[in-house]
Amino acid sequence: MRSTAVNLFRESPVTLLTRPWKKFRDGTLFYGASKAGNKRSALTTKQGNKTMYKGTRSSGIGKHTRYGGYTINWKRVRTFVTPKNYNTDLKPLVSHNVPELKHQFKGYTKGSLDAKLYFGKLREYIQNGKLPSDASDPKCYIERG
Amino acid sequence: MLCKRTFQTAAKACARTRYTKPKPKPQPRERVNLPSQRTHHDNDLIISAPVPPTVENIKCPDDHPLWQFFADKKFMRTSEELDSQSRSWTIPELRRKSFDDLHSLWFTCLKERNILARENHLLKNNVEGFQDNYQDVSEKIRTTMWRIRHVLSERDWAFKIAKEEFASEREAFTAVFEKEFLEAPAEEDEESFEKLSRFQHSVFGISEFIDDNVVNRTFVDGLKLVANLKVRKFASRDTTIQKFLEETRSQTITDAGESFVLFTAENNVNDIKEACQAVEELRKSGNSVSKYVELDTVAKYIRQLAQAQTSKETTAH
Amino acid sequence: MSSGGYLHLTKVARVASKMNNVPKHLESRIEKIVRTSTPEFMRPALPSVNEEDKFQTVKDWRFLPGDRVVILKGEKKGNICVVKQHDVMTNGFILDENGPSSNVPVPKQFWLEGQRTHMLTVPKAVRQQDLRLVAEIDDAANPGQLKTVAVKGIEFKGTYYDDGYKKMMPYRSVIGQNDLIIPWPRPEPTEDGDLATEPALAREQTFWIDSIVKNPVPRDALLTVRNPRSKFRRGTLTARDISKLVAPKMPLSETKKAYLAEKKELAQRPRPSITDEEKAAIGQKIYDHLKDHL
Repeated sequence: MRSTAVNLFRESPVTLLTRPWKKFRDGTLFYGASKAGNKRSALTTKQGNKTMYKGTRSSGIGKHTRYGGYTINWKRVRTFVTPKNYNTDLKPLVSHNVPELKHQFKGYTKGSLDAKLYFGKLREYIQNGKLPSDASDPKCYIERG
Repeated sequence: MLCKRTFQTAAKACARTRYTKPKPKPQPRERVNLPSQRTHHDNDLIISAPVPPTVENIKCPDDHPLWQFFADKKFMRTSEELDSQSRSWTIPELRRKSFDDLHSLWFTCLKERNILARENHLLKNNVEGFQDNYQDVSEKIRTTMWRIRHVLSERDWAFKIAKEEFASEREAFTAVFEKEFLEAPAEEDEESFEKLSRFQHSVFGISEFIDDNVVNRTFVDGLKLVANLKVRKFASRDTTIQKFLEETRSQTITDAGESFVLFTAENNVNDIKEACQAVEELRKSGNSVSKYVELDTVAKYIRQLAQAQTSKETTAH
Repeated sequence: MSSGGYLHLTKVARVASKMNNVPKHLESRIEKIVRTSTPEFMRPALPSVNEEDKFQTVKDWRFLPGDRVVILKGEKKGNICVVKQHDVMTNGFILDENGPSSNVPVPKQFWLEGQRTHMLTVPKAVRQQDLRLVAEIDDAANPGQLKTVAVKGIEFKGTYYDDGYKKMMPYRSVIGQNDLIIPWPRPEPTEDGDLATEPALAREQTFWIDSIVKNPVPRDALLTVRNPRSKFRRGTLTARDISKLVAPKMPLSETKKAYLAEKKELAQRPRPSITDEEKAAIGQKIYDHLKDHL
């Protein structure tokens, strides 16, 4: 048997793949906006048939009892530790009037994880105590690190 | 069946006693599971006048915990009220915040995202809006939150790496400090001793609060170093201390008990002198702490010191 | 996304919003539908651009709100206007009253404050290539005076910290003349928002590296920060990982086993060797044959 020449393998025309018998004359599809790309997304918790279960990672925290009660297993409940000294002055965002601070780490090859930088900072602390650095000024935009 | 012809006595004996004799009452059950849901079969139902369904009849306390899901007790913030121009916290800004601050900030972010999620849900379902402005703000806050976790993780790695490399760095680090400490003039004593306390805390973990201290090898090493530093600092100012230092073998104190006495002495010439005399007495009486029981002995001393302090406090009160 | 439903709570929403891939042959048709279905006052003057083509940086935009520009094309050709706003959807510039505008009817629920009639003048966005920057430079003919010129091309070189925008900005200069810098317009100051931390508090330092003995992060907190047993950091393969990576050995079929057994048997069969007599007989036969034919 003769092998098929490579140039005989061609991409099929799109019209053959998109079922031309299900198209209108102006080219729009009989059903849907496009043939591809709207059926490939993951299902939500509300989709699927009766065998499909997809939780929200929020249930299954206990057991049902007789008489229709429910005992909660507190080990399985998501809990959040409240801060010990709650500083309510800090808000979730920062004012747009403050420049975004940048750390340079000049001379420290490993950046923030550099041990040399750590020792330097420790030395500074022993020398000066809790002395605020330059970036405590809201106008500062670049710092050593 | 009962109509069988039999003798009168026999019939009587055959009669079933099962229903005639009262059964003994069952023992009261020890554990009775009461139904968790109360039903309308309960007797405490009272018929009252119908309550008209108006807003006035619904009263909500101002400190109701669910208010935490509302911004300024509003049903929804309008897009003008929503702050969409502020930016997320940057990593360098968060690096400057203590753990407590970062924890608080994370918690505040979480609460704010709850509010935004509620508002976004209302927008998408009830108001049927197409905008994404609540979602956008929520994403900004989400950025803040992952950055907080990043900073904490980074802080931990930096500490672990530095701790590992400090083994080789320790000598140079202490030598630099020693030189600076001993060369500082007498006028700067207060400052120098503050530096010393910061140094012993950061390098050896010796805290000023006795209860915070954990006695281990590093602690005892620190104790000895600090004792030596104190003696050498005052040796140039007082002849007795100088003499004591010269009498000590190779001019360094290696005994943990002696170090402890000097360590607890106040930072002035007289107290150090007294401590030196106490150490000399110890030496004369042959009271030295062996290297092998150093840790236990120092732990015992620390415990005694803590007890002495608490008793002193109670008497003062 | 469609209103109603819970799709916005899921990850699908993010994926689905990206998958608005209209087939190419339908693009013009859908655009026509959009154009005819949106009311005139909401219709953009320029076609909207794709997500990847949208302008991101100041270098892309070239002119910022507050810049003065001259219009090169259209009915308002030659007018000098101030850029009021960027139109993010179309990469266009919305100019002040000297720029192009259209008179459109607006339904009553969209009326602005102080509006009296249904007709409203709405500014039209202008493309970047139809604008030139206007700058004031020293007049060489009359020293000490300024003259207004339109800049043919702009070039960006070097950066500096801009106090108005609170960030690093590139220097904007006339093309080929880097000393002729056209400064960026000063932005209008705005108040801090409700969710913004105060500047001084945001920058207050509360952490110092103060120990080489005690970890600055509490041990219990670290478990929620990072997975200590992460497989990406472990560096070694567990038995479970190896079993997943190594392909199982295929069992042999009965036929294959029989075939292999047969092959083995055939290999073990004694081979006949040629004796000297046979060799001599073969030689004789060849010799006879060649003798007759040669």
